[in-house]
Amino acid sequence: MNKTLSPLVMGAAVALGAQAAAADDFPTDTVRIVVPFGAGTTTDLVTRQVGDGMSEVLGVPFAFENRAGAGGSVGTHEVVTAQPDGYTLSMGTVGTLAINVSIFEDLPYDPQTDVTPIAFVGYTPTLLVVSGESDYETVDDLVAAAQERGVTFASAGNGTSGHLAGELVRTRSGGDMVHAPFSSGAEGLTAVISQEVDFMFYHPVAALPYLEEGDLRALGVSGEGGSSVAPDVPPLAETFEGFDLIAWFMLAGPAGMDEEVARTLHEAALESLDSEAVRTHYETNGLEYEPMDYDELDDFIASEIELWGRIAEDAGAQLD
Amino acid sequence: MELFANLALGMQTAFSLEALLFCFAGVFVGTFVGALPGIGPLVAISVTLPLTFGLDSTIALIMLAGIFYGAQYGGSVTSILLNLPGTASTAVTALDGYPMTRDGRAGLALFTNAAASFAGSSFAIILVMAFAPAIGRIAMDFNSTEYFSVMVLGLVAASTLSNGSTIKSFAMITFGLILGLVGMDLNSGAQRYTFGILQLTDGLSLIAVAMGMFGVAEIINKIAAPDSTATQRGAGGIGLRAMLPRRDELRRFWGPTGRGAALGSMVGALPGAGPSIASFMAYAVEKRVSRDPGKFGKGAIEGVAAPESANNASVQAAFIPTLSLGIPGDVVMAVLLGAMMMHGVVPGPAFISNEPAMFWALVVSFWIGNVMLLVLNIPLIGLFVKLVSIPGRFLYPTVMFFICMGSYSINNSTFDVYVTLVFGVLGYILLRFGFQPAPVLLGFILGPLIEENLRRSLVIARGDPMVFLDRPVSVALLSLSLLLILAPILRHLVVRWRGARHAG
Repeated sequence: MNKTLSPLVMGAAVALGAQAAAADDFPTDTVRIVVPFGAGTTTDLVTRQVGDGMSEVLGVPFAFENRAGAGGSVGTHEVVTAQPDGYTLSMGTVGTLAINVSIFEDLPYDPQTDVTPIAFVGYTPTLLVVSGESDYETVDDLVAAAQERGVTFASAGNGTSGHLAGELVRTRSGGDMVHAPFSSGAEGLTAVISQEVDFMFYHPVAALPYLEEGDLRALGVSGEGGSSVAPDVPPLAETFEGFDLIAWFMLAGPAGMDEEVARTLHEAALESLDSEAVRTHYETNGLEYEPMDYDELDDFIASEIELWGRIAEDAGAQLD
Repeated sequence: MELFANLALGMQTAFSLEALLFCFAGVFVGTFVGALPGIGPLVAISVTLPLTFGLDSTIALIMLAGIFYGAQYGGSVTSILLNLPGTASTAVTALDGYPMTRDGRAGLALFTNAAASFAGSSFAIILVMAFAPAIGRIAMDFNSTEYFSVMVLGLVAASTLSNGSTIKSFAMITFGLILGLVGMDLNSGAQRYTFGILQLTDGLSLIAVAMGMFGVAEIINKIAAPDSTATQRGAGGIGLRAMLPRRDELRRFWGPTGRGAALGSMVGALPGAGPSIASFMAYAVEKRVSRDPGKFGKGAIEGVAAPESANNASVQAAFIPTLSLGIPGDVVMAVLLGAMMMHGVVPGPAFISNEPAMFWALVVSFWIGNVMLLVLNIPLIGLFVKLVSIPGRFLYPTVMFFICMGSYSINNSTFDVYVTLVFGVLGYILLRFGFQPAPVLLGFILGPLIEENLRRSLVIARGDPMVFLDRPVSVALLSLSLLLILAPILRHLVVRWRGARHAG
């Protein structure tokens, strides 16, 4: 009996040893980061910039793979079911790690229990934009129009951060605001410029050229801290107390990762974020960055899930 | 003469050795990925994008754009020779291109393809040069109601697309419309026909469905019923004489090519329409205006010239909203815009005035690239035609391999490979019962666009259906659709009335 067991025991011992060794000299192999959105998207660009820097720090190649679908759920789900050995990671976003759980009823993963957060890599507030030819000069003008005759707002789709930000403006202002989802942000933007739709939330850098040309006007910033590329635009928090929504990015792996491995990746990400190349990319692309401690990550995700969940619930945006 | 000064500015960069080299690399890669079933420009550009980071941004864009329009040339080669469209937008070319191959006129069909493609592209490039900002503005004023109306017109016009039974054709359009419903509803977020499968949330992939119904189904069909005509007759002569059109064929070339170019440019300039719709509509228009619609589907040269001219014009015209407004017309354009941003170029309404050297270099390179494609494609015709004589036991497994690889690479997902295979089997069964796959694709592409724009118009108008009759362009388009539907009935009535008078 003992004899038959021993190979098993030995196997287990070897496996344990291998795991300990793996944690010690991690990484020895290519690290794969799954981008749950398409090539050329903001998330994709951020991942490649930060990942290239991490590759330099850690001395192993980093590979990037785009796996878009279902608001990022497809790619994220693939990563949470992978081996938690640190070689398969995903670039999490406010969507995949916070919003989707209140939007998709059958989300196949729980961002709080199925994910090991690794590093906060940055965020961007969004701008509330209206057409340059419209009469709206301030948020108050827009709210007044909503109360008088009703307005419409565009988004890049149901349950996106832009949709929920619009819903928050609606519930906070008590005006009549109807949501018109588009299949991409760019199409929504066209509709705002041509005044088919009254307003939408849009990424500052993408909106900037239109602001400069006078095609668009920005009435407010969704984040309390404002936007570094549009410093003159007032935060919406000045009109609606406590209005503070940002779109953020967080490197994450499957649940159950060795803490040492996760911390190694965390440090590498911070170092990459400090590099000249990443700084320049962030500045030109309107991305903001404030470091966040490794131990704060879990609480941050939890608070964001609560924040967006409440907006979704108030808005009745629950999808089924 | 500002235009000439601008062109001169563009030529400085576009005719540099580096630019010519990368332009050639782009169109060369484009031709080949286009010709490989399933592997289209989207995949090729996504893969090449990281490789261009070391390049100057203008040169990088010249190459990436070359892949995009080069793929339109290559995509029709396999459509014509093997009835296997390389890209979805060339599926309609197979309707007449493949019968031409079976008649031993493959060389002529490929020549027509190259010539019509070149003519269509050139027409659209001139538009881009002369009017890009102005056209961009007009396209921008097109809102949901007009989009809805133009898509309805497209569906009505193209419903005569297939050959044979009208009932079967309508059944297939309806089937396509139903397939288009799969996925998360844009307005309510409700899941439709997704059966709890996460991968279906964004709907079925157009490339997977097209590759399945056209590519895989055709391969099964060929294996099940070996079709000896093409191989027996060979593909016809491959000398220059066999390729060049006869005088009467040449006469039948210009009209369809011109109409295709105009239609393709219009559709291309509208963000969200795309080359597939352009080629379907151009084919339908030709069938409508032809004095002898019966010849379509049996190897009519018009059936190759019109859609090829249209899809190439559409691809070039798609650069109008992309470059003049920063609004991507489709996914491929969105990736190109991402590439611009990675190279530190900000797309948007000020792009042309801020970066004139880049814009004009790019536009001039389009034309250089198209000349290269023409020069590249005509000598290759002889080589391409030999494809037909490759024995099936080598050809079909190879093509199947590329189809599977192509459908996997759309989204790095094995799920799309299964979708392709399922639609392959389904497509074969339908084919056996005399149902054509082209109308399915049409319904599948137009259905979601019609629904989306219909509902968006109504949401914005707060439920008032009169919104479609408020805007003149929309009214005109809808009236035209109605006319097309009523025309056969009216004609019938007129004939009866005349008959009655005659008798009386």
